[in-house]
This record gives sequence, C-alpha cells and structure tokens, in this order.
Amino acid sequence: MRPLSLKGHDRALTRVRFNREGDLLFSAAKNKAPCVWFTENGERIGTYEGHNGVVWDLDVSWDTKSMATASGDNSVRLWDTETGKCLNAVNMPTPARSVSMSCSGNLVAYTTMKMTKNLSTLCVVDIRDPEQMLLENNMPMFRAQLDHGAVASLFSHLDDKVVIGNEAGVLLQYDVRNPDMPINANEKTHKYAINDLQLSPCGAFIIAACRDKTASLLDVNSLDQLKQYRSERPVNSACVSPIRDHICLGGGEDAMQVTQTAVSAGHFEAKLYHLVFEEEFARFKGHFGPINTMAFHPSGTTLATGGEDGYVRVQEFDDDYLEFKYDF
Amino acid sequence: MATADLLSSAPEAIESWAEAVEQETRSESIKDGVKTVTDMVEEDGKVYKVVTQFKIVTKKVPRSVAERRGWLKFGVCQNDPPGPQVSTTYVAEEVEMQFVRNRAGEQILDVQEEKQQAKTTSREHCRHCKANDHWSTNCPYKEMYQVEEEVDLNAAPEKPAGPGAPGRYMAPGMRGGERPDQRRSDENTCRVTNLPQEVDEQELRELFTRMGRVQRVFIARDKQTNLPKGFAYITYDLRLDAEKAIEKLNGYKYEHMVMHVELAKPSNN
Repeated sequence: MRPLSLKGHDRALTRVRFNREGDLLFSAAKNKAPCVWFTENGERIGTYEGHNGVVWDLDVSWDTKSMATASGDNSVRLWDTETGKCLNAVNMPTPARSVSMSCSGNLVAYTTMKMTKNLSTLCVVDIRDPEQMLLENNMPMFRAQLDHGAVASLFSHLDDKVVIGNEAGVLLQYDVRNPDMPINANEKTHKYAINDLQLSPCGAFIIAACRDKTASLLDVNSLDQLKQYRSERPVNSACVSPIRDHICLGGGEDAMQVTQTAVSAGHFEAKLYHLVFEEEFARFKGHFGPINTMAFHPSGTTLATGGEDGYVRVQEFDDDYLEFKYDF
Repeated sequence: MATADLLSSAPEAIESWAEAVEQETRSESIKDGVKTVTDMVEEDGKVYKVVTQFKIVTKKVPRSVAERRGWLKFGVCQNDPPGPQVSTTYVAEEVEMQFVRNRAGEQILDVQEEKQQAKTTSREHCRHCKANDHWSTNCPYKEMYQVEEEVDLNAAPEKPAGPGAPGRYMAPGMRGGERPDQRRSDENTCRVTNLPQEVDEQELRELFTRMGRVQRVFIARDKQTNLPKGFAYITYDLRLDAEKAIEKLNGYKYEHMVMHVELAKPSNN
C-alpha cells in the first residue's frame, strides 16, 4: 500500500477521527489548530483557529455539523465544522484532557485534569442550552469528581452512559442522570494509565488501550473484560475493524525514551490482531515515532494513524490484507 | 480526482517575452477521462513546465458527502488553490504489510524481540558430548568424560622429559618429540566432504576405523547453529591407512550423499 502522508501539524498528533461517512478526517495535535482533510486525496480543507494550547482530543457529531475539542488552554470549544468558526468556548479551572460527543450530537462529555486543589472532573454539557455554554462559571448538567485524572472518555450508549478511563487504569461507567456514583467499574483489567477508549462500530464492545502494554476488549454494559491483546510496548490507541473480526493496536516506546532507542527497537508499527484469537497476525511500518492515535475508516479498508512524529498517515489496505482469512 | 501523478517536469527555454506571457497561463484539457493540467512554474530563474495528469473518477456518494465536497477552504488554507497541496500532502513510500502468522494461525515471522533475546543469551552447549540441550556441568555423561580428562592430566607431566632442568621454561621447538598438533595434521589426514547434515561422529569413526587406527575425527560445525557444515577431517596414525581410506571410501555412499575423500592440504600456519 502507498499511504498518504499528511503534514498539517508541527507537533505530536493527539487524535485522528473520521466522520460518520468517512469522507472527512479530523486531526488534533499538540499545536494549536486542529485540521480537517478530505480522506480520499488528503487535501486539507481547513484549520480551526482559536485554541491557545495543546489540543488533547476532538470529536465530531454524527451529522458532521459540529465538532468539540478539549484543550490544554483550559477550555472546551465547539466548532462549526464547515466554516471553522468557534461557536462556543467553555473555560475551566484546569486543562481539558478528553472529549466525547453523544449519539445525538447534543451532549458533550469532557474530562479535566487534576491540578493543585482542583480535582479531576467528568462533565457533561448540553450544547443546546446557552446557560451551560457560557464562557465562565458554567453549570454543566452533570459533574462528577474523580480521584484520578481521567485521560479518556467515551459515550458508550446513546446519550446516557459515559465511560472514562483514568491514570490508575480504572474504568468507570457513569449514568448521565446520576453524577454521584458510577454504575459500573473495572479495576482489575489494567494497572497503568488508559490512553484511549473507542467504541466498536457495532456498539457492543469498548476497546481500551493501556500503558501496561495491553489493550482489552470490554463489554459495553458491564465493562467486563472479554479479550486481552498483548503488545511489546505501551499501547496508545486501539480500534476495531468495522467489517472484520480484527483490531488494530498502535503505540511504541514512550515518547520520553524515543531518542534513546533505535527505530527498530521502538516498535512503532501498527499491529493487527484477530479479535477472538487475541493473536497478532500482521503489522506495518510507517511512523518514525510512537503511534498516538488511530482510527478505522467506516469502510474498513482504510486506517488513519497519527504519530508522535507529527504526521498523519492514511493507509488504504491492499488485497493481501483484505483477502487474508483465518482457516478454522 | 483520486490520484494525482506528477508525470514530467522538463525545463524549457523561453525565447521571447511575448511567449513567456502566453505560457504563464494554466492550460487544462480533458480527454478519455484523464484531465491534463499544464503549469508553468518559475524556480531559480528558470521556467519549468509541469504536466499533471488526473484520472477523473465518478462516484456515487451520499448527498451530505457531495455537499461537503464543495466546502470552501478556511483557516490557514483559506487561500490555497483547489486540490491537495504539496506542502501538506504527499504520497508516501510503498509500505508492505508483514504477516506474522499464516492462515492457519501459525507464526511465520520471528518477532524482533525474540531474536534479540536469542542474541544476548548464549546458547546452551555441552563441552563433553557436544549436545545443545544442556551445559557441560549438567552433562549426564560427565563422569565418563572426566575420567578421560584425568587420564590425560596424569599422562601430561611425563611428557616434558626432554633436556634441560625440570621446571624451567623451554620453547616448544626445543622440547623434543613431535608437537601433537603437527603430528595430527598434514600428511596422515584425509578431508571428507559431501557429508549429510545429520552426520554422527561415532558412525563416521566406525566407518574410518575399518581402514586403520583413527587418531582424531573432526566434524566442522557452524559457529552459530552448531550444525555440521558437511565436511570432516579424519586423522590416522599412519599415512598408509589414510591412503587406504581414500582409495576405499572415496565415492562411498553415506546415507543419501556420495562421500568425497581426499588428502588434506597442509594448512598454512
């Protein structure tokens, strides 16, 4: 395959995401402006100017009308995807670390980091309510205080359940109507920070990527661990194929240690595992730094990866992968 | 529109200003589903003609996707012309997918980590019985071999009974008697080639002992894998036996191979 290499950011990528149809690719990095691209030819359509710090996460609504971003400049912003205009900005006392849009596109969940006496929080705001979208002193419809910083958040079911993964490797599921107690928790599966949570395209599983060199497949309702995928290096991102029983893991040697290791020893490849057998069956190279984020195209034939090296690579799989089948 | 191939960029001299003005314009032509765009690009004082060919692909897409195709550029790309920009987008080098497992789920590719581990830890190898599954200290035949070594040690002190006071250093050449390695090599040795990989030292010794007393059998082995390389040296006590062995065993069928036996060439050192 000949991947498209997109250089729209001069710093490490933090998130790549396709919209629902897969014609647009959104990318966020540690520089200030997220980008939007045409998936087909890699043409950059625009950049979203307004943040004043690292953009940790972004999510796009189902209809690709609006996009939410979480930034290290202590704000969550809502954008008009077509024009690049910032619709709302919500300031917070501490940096926002992750963001997720609900199924309807009306609710936005975000987590904030722990800093001095400000605890880490998980908040949900309704973007239709102007009161909740004020710049200062906003009153979100849901606010839960967390013991550990939450690195990843995800609307796991329609508009009513949010799953977060924190720095201690604990997964918690909250009901949006009850901020006091999580309805589900999984403390056993992971021991270190959870870097990424993604919903499988069928909506039945969550895949969690963890710094403990594993990724796990979890039941969306109970958070029970169903499968575990072992890698040689910390896993930064994992996603499930929309068309086959495959998952893809991306990661690599920690960004801090990258300069001390050879490219070959860093394991910067993306790895394909069988969903059920938990076995790695293929891998491909590309980035010269760890992969920070990856996303499957809704068609299942294309995979976008974003690396610590500042590049987004859009791989369109060849027949050797598409025709690969396990005999069983 | 999906693929953009840069076909040629040949420099072309421009004769007059009038011509240059004419050529600055961008020309496009569509023929058989291929759109050809000819651009004049000025760089380093020279004018280059850049011909870009696009394949026009018609696709059916959802209405929303078609509408998004018409989005205007914004942000830092506001002033960019349509199409992918060279500064942000390029087609990277070909990447091969490496399959770690085959269809049956068997591992076909060594994962790098395992290879490195194999390199760092030295391989188990027994000095006594030359096996690779244990160290010499754990050798089940250790006692047997140790007896032999002790015999050698007992025999050793008797050897330097040449001239000169005992306990004084003597150059090897002055010690009298033949040096063991000299006696071993050269004229009494035959070189056996074309041996099968699974050659057994004991079998080989038995075979060559039929021609006379064999002093030493040496099977060359690969340093890394410890597998026989396919040749061996047989040293006899007498040159006559070596010659006999060459006569009788050259062309001998050993397992599935035809052995080749010749006199060993004297080594250089």
